[in-house]
Amino acid sequence: MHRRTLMAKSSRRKAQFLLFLAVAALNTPALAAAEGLFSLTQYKLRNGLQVILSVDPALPLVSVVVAYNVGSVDESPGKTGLAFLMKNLMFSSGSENVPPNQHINYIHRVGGRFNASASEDKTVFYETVPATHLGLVLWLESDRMKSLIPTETAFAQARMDHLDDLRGRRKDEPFLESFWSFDQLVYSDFAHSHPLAGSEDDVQALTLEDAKGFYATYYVPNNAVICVAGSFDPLKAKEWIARYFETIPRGKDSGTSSEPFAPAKKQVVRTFEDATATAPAFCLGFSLGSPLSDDFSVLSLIDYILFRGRTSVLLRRLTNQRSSLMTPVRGVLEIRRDRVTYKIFVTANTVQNAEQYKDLIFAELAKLKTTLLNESEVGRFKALYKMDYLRVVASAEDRALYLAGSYLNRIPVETLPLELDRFLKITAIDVVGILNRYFRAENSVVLNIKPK
Amino acid sequence: MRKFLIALILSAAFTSPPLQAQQDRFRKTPPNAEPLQLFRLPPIEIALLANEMAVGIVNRENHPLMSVELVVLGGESVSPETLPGLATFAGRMFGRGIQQFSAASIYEALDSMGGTLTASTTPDLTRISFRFLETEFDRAVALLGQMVLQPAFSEADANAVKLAATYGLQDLEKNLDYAAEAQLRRQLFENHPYWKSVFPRDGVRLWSVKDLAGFYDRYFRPNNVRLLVSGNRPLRTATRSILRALGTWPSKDVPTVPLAALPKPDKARMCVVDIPGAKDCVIVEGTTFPPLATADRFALAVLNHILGGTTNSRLFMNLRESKAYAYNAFSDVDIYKAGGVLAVHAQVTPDVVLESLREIGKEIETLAKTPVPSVEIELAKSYLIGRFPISLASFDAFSAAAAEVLANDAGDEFWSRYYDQVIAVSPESVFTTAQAVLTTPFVTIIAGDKAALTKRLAGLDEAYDVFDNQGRFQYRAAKDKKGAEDETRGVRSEFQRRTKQR
Repeated sequence: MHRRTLMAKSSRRKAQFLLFLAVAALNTPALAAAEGLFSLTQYKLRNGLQVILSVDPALPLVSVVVAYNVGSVDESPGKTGLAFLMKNLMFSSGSENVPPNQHINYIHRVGGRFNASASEDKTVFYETVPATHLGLVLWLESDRMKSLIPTETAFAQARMDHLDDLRGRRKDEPFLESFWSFDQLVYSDFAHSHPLAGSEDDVQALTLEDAKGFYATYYVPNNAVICVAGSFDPLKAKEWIARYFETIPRGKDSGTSSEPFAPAKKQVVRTFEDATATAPAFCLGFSLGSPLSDDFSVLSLIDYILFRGRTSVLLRRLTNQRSSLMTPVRGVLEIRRDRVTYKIFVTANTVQNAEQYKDLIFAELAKLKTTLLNESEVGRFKALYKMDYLRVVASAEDRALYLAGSYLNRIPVETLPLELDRFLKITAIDVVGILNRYFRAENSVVLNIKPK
Repeated sequence: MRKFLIALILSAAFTSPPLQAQQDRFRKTPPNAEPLQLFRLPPIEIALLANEMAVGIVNRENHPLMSVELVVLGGESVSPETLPGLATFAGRMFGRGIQQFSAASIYEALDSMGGTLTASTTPDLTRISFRFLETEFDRAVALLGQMVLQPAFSEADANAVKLAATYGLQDLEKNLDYAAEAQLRRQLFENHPYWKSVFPRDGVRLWSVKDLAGFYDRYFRPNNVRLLVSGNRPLRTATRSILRALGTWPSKDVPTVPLAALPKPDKARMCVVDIPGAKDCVIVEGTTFPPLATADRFALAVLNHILGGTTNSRLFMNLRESKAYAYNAFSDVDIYKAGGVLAVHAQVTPDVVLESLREIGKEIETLAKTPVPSVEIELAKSYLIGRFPISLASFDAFSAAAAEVLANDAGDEFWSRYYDQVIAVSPESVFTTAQAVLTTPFVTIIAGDKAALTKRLAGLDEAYDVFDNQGRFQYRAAKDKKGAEDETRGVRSEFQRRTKQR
């Protein structure tokens, strides 16, 4: 009997928003003291593990996030799918003091919940438990950081489950192959362009030694951050973190390099025939440089202007405003470690419709590039952003994810409590400037999708 | 002396465990938990307006978000027999247009407050949830007032909602979990007003603006709603704004629909829901129980946890961890005004469907016949106590839970006294509840590919009915050939009969 992972998938939108927040505070000057919507303290252990603490006594619970700076961008050719597989192995393998599959049971026994996610550039594990069980979570997370023992059986099972899922998705998930093909166009290099799930052949060929090597390289304290948020005594938390984590040996530094961003000079257009496509469609992408650029906050607001909320410009034009159907239209600001892309996906009834929609998008962008949005329009999108932001920081778990994600995105964490203030100062002129800089046809990539 | 010290050190070095092992001794076991932090939720303060509307306020000081939950004390059970789904339709149409403004203008107003407006309908209630930035409270309440007092149900909006409902159901019907769960409700609610809560896709076309307006006029009345405000507002300030916006909403006698307790299934029976091409299948076994006293509800929560609440529970440990039959195996409890439903869910492959049914049956029977050891009861209680604040952690979950407490007049027992209620559960009360709930006949639904299942189910002695994924009766698979007389049975045929009367 094949077993499937029990971990629930986080909602796509929530994950995207957390990602946003994680890179939205980049051009803020360093501040002497973090004063704002929430408190935080941070420090580094001698082994390089970054620690972030944020106390919020609203409810007697505590959330712990342990995030590793590793994802599919770190995989080598022929070893794709390893980052995703490793995330699952972290649960099914035992560690020196925690038997296989027992991590979940420890959490459930105390009424807690857990989840994990692997993306192109991060692998994140998180638990929320009653505040009285903070020590338990730190013990569990430190044990698997220090001494995961992936066995041949657990590895074979995880690989089989992953292959099952991959095959099922390729068969049943509409447009999956199109999205993968689109990534090949958007990103020219192997690291960014190959799918997180990996290729079937690669996954089939992965070995336990590959997993052990990947773990030894990337699942080390100097490649990770731990964030604790919720109701806890910071002194006690520091004591526990020192006890459980500081004794874990530092690993080798796994430096990552990135090439400087250069905007494209010519539009790239390709056509792809997809057996799982349910309708004619297209993907449109704009390369937006690095998440560390000063432009990122404005790009976040532009995402709201284009596709967030029911009054966003492109969503309103591309869908029937009166219908609340799950619309086959979406836009997303995507970050893959050092690269940012705006991706739009639209389905249509006919190929001609698809062409019309594409023209409509460029026409709306042209309007936005030449006409300033009025104050109330900008205010509307800022209000939506503010609501999403406050939802995140009001929840211990989401706040911990936000803080840990921000750290891995190399953002000065102490500036985060003031991030919202800074965002609210963006003007319509800023928006026009950034739209003109990046949202140009010659800086775009188009994949026309035809059902096979 | 010096020689002695050196000898002592050397001796210690050779006889003691290595230094690293000493250092890591603390890793062998998890640290002890700290004493339980008792906490009290902010109280739900209640004010009754002159138009008989009950307003509940949960004042969360300094919280940056606010929520207003408008709960109509009428769900699918009050939809007309010939118009199942009308209450759902009313919820989804709420706020889509008011007399001076189009739906598009309302969306702009909502977005400018960072607002979201959603509706959900249960057999008993319709809940409109409006969440927005705290700074927008007065504006939000004023907009809500206009939505309530001046609804404009346009044909265009109605058609859009109906289309979305139709496509939504069409999508859901392909889902094994939904198909099995919906069929279970059709069976369990067959002769009860709750049957309308699983309205068929064909029924959507019957929804009309005229019927909607009539329904709205009857049930959307201040004396038939509860309004819950959660956020940074004290009772007096919040009530003043609400009075301004909704004080003129006239009360009116609301028709009462008799609601008998949910009937118990007359006998155990089995249905297959055919989902062609499905690789796996989903088993759902469920039964009903009558309204329970508060203490029994907590005992049932403990019982459910032991049966199938988490991955540590008996079903999961047996079907997945021990036998490796199931991808997952859980149980859950839904509480309604007329009683409740306890259901077991398991996803398995067709080749082990009979074995899985047998194990599920064994677990239910064991709990019904054998008292649960105290230690297992305490572990379940510990889970429920730990889970309580976590279940309220998100802003939306907190608001929804408070609204539910207010709407059901559940009072402090399910809010500030939750811990006390869980702690009070005893092994005896769990056993008594198990004997009451688990000894009633269960209805078994298996959703999967009929072709794959038929071979496996041939080993059964009993007959079973086969339905399509919309709940339409197909045929009876019976060894005893007694099925012909039952062919018209089922909610689908009942729906056809009732709608024909229109």
